[in-house]
Amino acid sequence: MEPARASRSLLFLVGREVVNILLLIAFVLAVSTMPPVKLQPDINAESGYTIKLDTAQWERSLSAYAALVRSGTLGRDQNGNPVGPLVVDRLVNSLGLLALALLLAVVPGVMKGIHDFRQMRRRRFAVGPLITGIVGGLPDFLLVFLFQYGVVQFFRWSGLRPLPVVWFDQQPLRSLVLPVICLALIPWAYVARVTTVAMGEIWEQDYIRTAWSKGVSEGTVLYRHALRNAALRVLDGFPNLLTIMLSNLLIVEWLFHFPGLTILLKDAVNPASALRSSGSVFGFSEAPPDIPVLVASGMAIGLVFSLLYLALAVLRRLADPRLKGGANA
Amino acid sequence: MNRSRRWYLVLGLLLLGALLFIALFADHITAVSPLYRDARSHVMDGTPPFPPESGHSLGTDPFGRDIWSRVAYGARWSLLFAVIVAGTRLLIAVPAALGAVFGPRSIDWLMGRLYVFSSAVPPLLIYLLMLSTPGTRLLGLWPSVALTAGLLTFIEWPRLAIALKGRMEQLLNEPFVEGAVAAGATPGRIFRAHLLPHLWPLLMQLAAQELGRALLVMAQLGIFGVMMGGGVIESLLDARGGMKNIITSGIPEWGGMLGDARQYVLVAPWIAFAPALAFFIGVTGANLVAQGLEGVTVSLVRVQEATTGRLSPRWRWLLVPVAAGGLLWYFQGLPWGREQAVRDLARRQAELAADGSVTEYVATLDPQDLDFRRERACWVVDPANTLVADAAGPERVELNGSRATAWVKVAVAKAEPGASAWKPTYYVRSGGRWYEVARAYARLRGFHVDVTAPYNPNDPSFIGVGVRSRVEYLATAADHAFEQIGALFPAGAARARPQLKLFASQESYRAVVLLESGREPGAATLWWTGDRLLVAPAFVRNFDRAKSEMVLAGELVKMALPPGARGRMPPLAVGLLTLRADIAPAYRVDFREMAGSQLFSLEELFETSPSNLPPERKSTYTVQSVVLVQFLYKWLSPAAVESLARSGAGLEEVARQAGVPVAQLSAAYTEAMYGRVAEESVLTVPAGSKVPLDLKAAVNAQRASARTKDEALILDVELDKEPMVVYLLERLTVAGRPPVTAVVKEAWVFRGGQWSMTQRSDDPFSGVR
Repeated sequence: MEPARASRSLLFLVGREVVNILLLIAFVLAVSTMPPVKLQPDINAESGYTIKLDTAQWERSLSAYAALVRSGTLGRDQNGNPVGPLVVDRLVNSLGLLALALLLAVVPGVMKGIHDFRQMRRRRFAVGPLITGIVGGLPDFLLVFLFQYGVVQFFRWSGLRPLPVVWFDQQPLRSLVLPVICLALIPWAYVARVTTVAMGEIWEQDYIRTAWSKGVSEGTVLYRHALRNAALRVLDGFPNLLTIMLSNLLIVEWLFHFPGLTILLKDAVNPASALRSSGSVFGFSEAPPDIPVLVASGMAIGLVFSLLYLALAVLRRLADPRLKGGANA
Repeated sequence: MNRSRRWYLVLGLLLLGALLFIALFADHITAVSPLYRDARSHVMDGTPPFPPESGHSLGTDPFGRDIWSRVAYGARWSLLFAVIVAGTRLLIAVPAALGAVFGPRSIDWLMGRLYVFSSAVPPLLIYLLMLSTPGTRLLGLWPSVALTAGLLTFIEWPRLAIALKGRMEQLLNEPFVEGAVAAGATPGRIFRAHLLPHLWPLLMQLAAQELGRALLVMAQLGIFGVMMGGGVIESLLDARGGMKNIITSGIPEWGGMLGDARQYVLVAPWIAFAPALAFFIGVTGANLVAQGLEGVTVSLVRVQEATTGRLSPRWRWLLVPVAAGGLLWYFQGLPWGREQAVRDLARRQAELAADGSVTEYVATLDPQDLDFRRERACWVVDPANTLVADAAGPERVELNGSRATAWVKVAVAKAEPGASAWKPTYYVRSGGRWYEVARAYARLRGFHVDVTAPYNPNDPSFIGVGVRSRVEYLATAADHAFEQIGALFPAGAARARPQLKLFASQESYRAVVLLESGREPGAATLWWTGDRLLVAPAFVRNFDRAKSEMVLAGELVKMALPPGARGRMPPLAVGLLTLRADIAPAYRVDFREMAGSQLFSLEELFETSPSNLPPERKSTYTVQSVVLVQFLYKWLSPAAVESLARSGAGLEEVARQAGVPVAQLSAAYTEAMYGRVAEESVLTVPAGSKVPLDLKAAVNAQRASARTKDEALILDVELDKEPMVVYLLERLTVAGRPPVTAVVKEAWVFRGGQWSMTQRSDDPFSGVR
């Protein structure tokens, strides 16, 4: 995607990610200690209230968190549990889900991409890429709704309950099936599409024509000459893929009640959800966010993201023979 | 490869076009307002959410709002938000990319930092962290919309700018650009002549892609309860009959609908299905268009040749400012003359009102709002009610785009002479002219009935909730009333779509009633003008659902009657309607509501119009109408009674069909009515009698002193009240006249060993004694 990025030195990449992480910490801290708003009824205001930022409260919660960090722990949540183990536990769950989905997305995705590419070369109107495009454009929540609703309808019709539609502690493996599928489908389509485009570009190259003219079989041209070169470009698309997957991870975890970081984060932002305790909307007694949990879980997601980015950048550098020895592309 | 792409483009454009069609013609393809809440009047109909059924093709949400209507109107807002977000991102990204390529290096550096910063975390996470704090929900509708749109734009524009910059740098290395540089072309020339033709396809593709992304993010935020369309508080009847306040999407918008639906995904999947499908169509359409646009080239030169190519290059640039100026003049007026135009109009209005030139005055009012024009015409004609505007014009004018507010000094004629007040007057520019508008009124479209009322459907404040729910109840009650009427008078109901107007103040209600019908409304809270129903604000205060529905049905039935019978309210129709709402055999006469009212004779029943009767007489009328219908069943079949009601028949026709002379029918009816009221008294059963024995004697003794024959039957005694409340069915006979019957409410006390009356409801016999 960005040729400039790949041409920089490894040290620069690492340094940049470290800067990112520092920025991230500041950002998450600022957002999660967001000043609570004060509401005062005011007849003249259009909304009936005037809203003021309670900066004094902001200062207090920031300094409280700073003291917590100085003491060397991550603090405790509102139920009194230490935050560190809690976050690590949830992080492992989330990463596991992500890894499974990634595995399921990449290999079949590349295969689907090659299939689409071949179909597009042969037919006037290729259905395969269209399906890929539609799956790739499916909103993630619709996918989740459809799967959940499908399982429920199947149960009503047959009396069999093949899979839990939300997380069920007693059957962790079966509970994983639907979230992994939902998380993998959209990245699968994305990988397929990137592969198709990359193959299309590679196909115009001289060495492919040379290979054809030498009478090499189609399989060899496709897999040995084209795919190897296309793989690099697919790898270029991975940062984008990660962004998509992490966004979807939030939705999938939320809708399946998966014990990952999302629920932790969401509960921390808004401990007594305004929807549930709707009476308090007028009571001016909004529960403050659970700051230690919020900071820790927000940071955990950000860290994972940054580290994966870094790993990808390094991988990209190692994989591309043209970038070895510091030569510019 | 390109052929497939063309198909994608066509398919994508078709999908987006379908959504656009729905958005543009939402008014015509939906039956009801997206805000109308179908909360059925009867327990037997269940409570919302209602599944898809006739009337609600896609079901309703937990508030009883029609999902199809919300999706259709939501298309407007959702597409608008997505276009605004995508467009603003591009608007920032294009100059930023230009600056990064041609400008100082610092811009490039800054853009790079911003990109790194905003892509360090998935954007969705940033939005969630920043937008789901409780405070943002209470900002009010438009501030929270602006905040969300701003954040969505700000976080993601660097990504676009980087992509554009990459493409530009790639183009700058092309031989034709190098050639141009060597030939000494300026950066502006290079950009226009060499880069732009190649950037167009990318820009269009990016726009489509961003449209899809923006839609998707709105949906994802909705899932987490962050509503793009802000949140308003609505009160909802829960299953236990209590009220609870819930934050729901304010303006109908798909993301907010998903947010509302998330608790009902498995219970009522239709709520989430429609907006999810709409998002799917939007996102897929945008993605397909983006895919189809890959590699498409558009020749700008050819476009230019076909449009402006013949104009002289020296003056061609003038097209843009002229067009912009024209648009500005049309929508807002030219900047220097705007305030003066509004002032002139206000002054002219004052002059015209003073002269009494109604036609010209009305021409200055909103041409869309015929009600407003008509009411204002009434005010101008009648000098006693006119708020006379100061001829000097408004004191202050606030301009806001195509809208303006002028503060006009008015003399209040009804108060002491010389008193004056400041009145805000609202103006809007439409078709290049300023008009005065009634901004406080909004229209709510139900299935059968339109209600115009002073309320703001998007008002997030607590005060707004009360007003909103009253208007909602009025609309639903009127709607159900008209549904009953439609079942009884199918032909008549099909002709008419009732218009209800709820007034902001009792004063304006009185003025309009007075001027349109020439009579004082008195205690009547509803007024039928011949083509619409005026509703006083008092009617929706202390709103009783079932009772209001009946009263509204009694008024609205006039619309459905045949032309000859309009304006009168025939008792047969009222009786049949009441029986439809209640379960016929179980109908009970409630004499408490009739207290203080003389009973109508059959002739009176057919001649009276109960609209302007006081409430207790109105209830009596309703009760007697029901008894009349049940009484007629002795002579006529139910079908015959219904057809009599439909034709708006008078008493003679009824008597003829029943085969009984009018006088005999009337006498029999009076007896039957007396019997029905007396039947309701539990006290006539001697064994169960709790009446103090001497009270009966005391009541009769008091009557005996009267000059005429006066007999009273005690219907009920409320022993626990102090003084004790006694309901009486009293019959008064004056020589030479038929007896008159009434229900009377009296207060009695037992003092010093004997009973005495302390208070009596307004004497229903005042005209007789």
